[in-house]
Amino acid sequence: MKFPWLGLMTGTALTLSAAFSLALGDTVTPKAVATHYADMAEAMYGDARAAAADLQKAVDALVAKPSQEALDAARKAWVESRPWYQQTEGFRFGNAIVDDWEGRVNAWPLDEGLIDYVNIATYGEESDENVLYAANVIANPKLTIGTETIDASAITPDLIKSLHEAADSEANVSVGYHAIEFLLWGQDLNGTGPGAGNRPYTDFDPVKCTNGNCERRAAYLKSATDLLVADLDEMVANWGPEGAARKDVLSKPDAEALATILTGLGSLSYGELAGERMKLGLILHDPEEEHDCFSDNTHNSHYYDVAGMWSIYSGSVPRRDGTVLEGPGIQDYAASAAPEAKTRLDGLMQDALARFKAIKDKGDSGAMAYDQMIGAGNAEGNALVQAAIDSLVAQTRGIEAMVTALDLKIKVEGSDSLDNPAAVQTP
Amino acid sequence: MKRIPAGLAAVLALTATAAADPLDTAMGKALFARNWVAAPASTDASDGLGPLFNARSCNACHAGGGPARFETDNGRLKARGLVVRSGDPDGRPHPLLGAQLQTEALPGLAAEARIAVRLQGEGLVVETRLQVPEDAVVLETRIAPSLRGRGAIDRIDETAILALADPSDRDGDGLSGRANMIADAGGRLVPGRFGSKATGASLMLQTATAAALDLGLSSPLVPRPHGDCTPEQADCLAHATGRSTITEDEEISVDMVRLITAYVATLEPRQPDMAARGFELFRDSGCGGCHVPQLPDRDGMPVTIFSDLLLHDMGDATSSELRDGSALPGEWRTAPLIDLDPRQETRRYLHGGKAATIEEAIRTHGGEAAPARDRFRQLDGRERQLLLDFLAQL
Repeated sequence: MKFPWLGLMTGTALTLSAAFSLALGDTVTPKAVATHYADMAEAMYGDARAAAADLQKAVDALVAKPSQEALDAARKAWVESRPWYQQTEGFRFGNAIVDDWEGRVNAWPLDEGLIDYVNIATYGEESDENVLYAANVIANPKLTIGTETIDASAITPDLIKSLHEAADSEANVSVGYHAIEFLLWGQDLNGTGPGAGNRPYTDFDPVKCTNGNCERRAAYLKSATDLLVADLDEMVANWGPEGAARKDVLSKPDAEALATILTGLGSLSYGELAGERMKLGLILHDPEEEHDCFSDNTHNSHYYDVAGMWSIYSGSVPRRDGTVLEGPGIQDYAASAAPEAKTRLDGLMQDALARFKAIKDKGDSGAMAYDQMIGAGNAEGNALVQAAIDSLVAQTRGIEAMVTALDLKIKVEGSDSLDNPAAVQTP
Repeated sequence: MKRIPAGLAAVLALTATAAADPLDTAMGKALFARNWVAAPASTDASDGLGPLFNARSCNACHAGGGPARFETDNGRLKARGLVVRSGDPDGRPHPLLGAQLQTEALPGLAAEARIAVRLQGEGLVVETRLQVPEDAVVLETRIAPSLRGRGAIDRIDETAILALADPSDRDGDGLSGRANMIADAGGRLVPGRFGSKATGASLMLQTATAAALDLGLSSPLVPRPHGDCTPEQADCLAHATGRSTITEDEEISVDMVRLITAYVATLEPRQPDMAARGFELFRDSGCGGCHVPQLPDRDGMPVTIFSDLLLHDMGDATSSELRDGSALPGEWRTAPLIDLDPRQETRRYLHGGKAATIEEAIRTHGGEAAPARDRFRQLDGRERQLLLDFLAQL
């Protein structure tokens, strides 16, 4: 797999300077930074949407004519769609519109038993055969969830969306990238050994159908993919010229707009990526406390989270068409407003990028997948992951120092107590 | 009771958590907010929800670590963080329904009940429709408390709690106060300090109990993989569990409970203004007889929780027919007065949410609290308001 902008990203990393260059004497205003932030969000969600549309084409081809080649092509399209989404995650925290929406596209962990069959033989059941766990949407045209009976005779985007949103704000996780991933790969039953999920293409073949309900499974896969594209469309529009998310950030006073940007970067670095996605998995040595657990693509999803943070910080975004979107990042504003904090944070973010590149390289080399890296007794892998976690913690401290230097106020997710009553809110 | 300079307790609290890995509370917060999923799922450490459950996450009922909330949506009142406990006519957990009605179930199973709430005037009406009709059942509502200050309660010296106990009112002050002695994780009998009937021996055990009862997650501390399923609920017991070697053969490990507890312990109480006139009125009215402002922690430093953590008879108006540990019907643990903020009227008070305001909650007190309640009633309007303002900022 090849990402045209990987080289660009590394180039930026080596020179330690923002791609956006200023004529001597120019000053970057917070308003210009906020405007370019919204432009970056529109472009980055646009690229995520375009990559998802390519995935949609591949899924349509698989459903129309199931074959090993078509399944491989769909898996490849899914893997190629991930960096374009992951690099947007720095927009999540601080932008309520994004955070409220995020659960529909990237929710994890997944209620896979609600979607399709899962193997309970690995859970110590007596049978040697795969025992198919039956209470799932694909196998059941009629479902009971809590006190609700749901007509699932036709699997449509609306149906799976309603399942996802069942039970008030607390959802069954039945849609998004990871639902699609589960349908394309199936469960990864290899533990911390090598190998990803291994669903046969015949699971989607009405003629040579394996594991039953192949037409319903194909309909689920298509519905989930169509829904993903529609949800990404919605987020692109939110950052468009009249979009609510753009208006929201541009209507904020300067200090709040800058705080929004750093809240997103700090919260993703700390509680979300370093804490929940990485440290927890490392402590538990759980092979599936990895982000892209069915496809063994976690090394990439983590790397592009970090790469995306650098883009948002520096204002320089490699695009899917090979061009680079450039404009004033908060880095450029800090260059004059808080030069020492900026220099420090540049170094910390570059260090984090290098640590995550080491994980990515190890994963890409085929020597060790991320789930193996966090396995018990794997000193080399554990050390790689721990170093990456430490670099994110340091990066968070650098972001907090910049917040102080710029005289801003932010709340980094998971980083302090809830002394601020305004932070006590409904999820 | 000794007074301490305001702020000292907060400083001490910081040092108490400073030794932990800074990511512990971040991971704990993530686990607190995590939507758990049904077993079997590929994510071994994240499955184990149910089979019967009230919520998928801690955060669903304690949003941001806060209390139950009552919001009106399109004219319909919605309660988040309200549960209905169930018992037999003797007050013991119900043989079919268990200790609590679960309103959610994994696909293929039926939930035990549907619960709807509405207002009648200021009064809260909780309507419970059982999936399987049962005659001999006692139902009582409970609302989720704010989790602020729970770390402080956990630090309190147990001998200080026991020293306040006076079960037969030997000192003749009209206040009995009984410790609900309960086994801790090591099997030692200690005074319970958490929960409306003081059945939680420690914050970790209380957290593990909530995980089992409300989410259906078992841990080595409370090893109940089927949550609140009873032997009569065979289909529930037959359901797959999320037990895994990764999580110490249960659904969540002791370490995961510890992380959640570490996060909850960061939710510190606010520092009340003890120089306020409202505090003097609170003290002089006798509220502090049970709502003891400060107790020493294990290092002898005062902690402000406004509770003696003992069981008292609160009278008929708040009577309970359910037993819990050694707590008798009618007995409640003195609720800590921490985080009473009305939150734009989305808040309710007392164990079951009976009171819409702090004032109504005070007026509903009876039993041993009747004399203090009467002194509150006798305050003039301005003084009553000063006292209420003091409580609202706790």
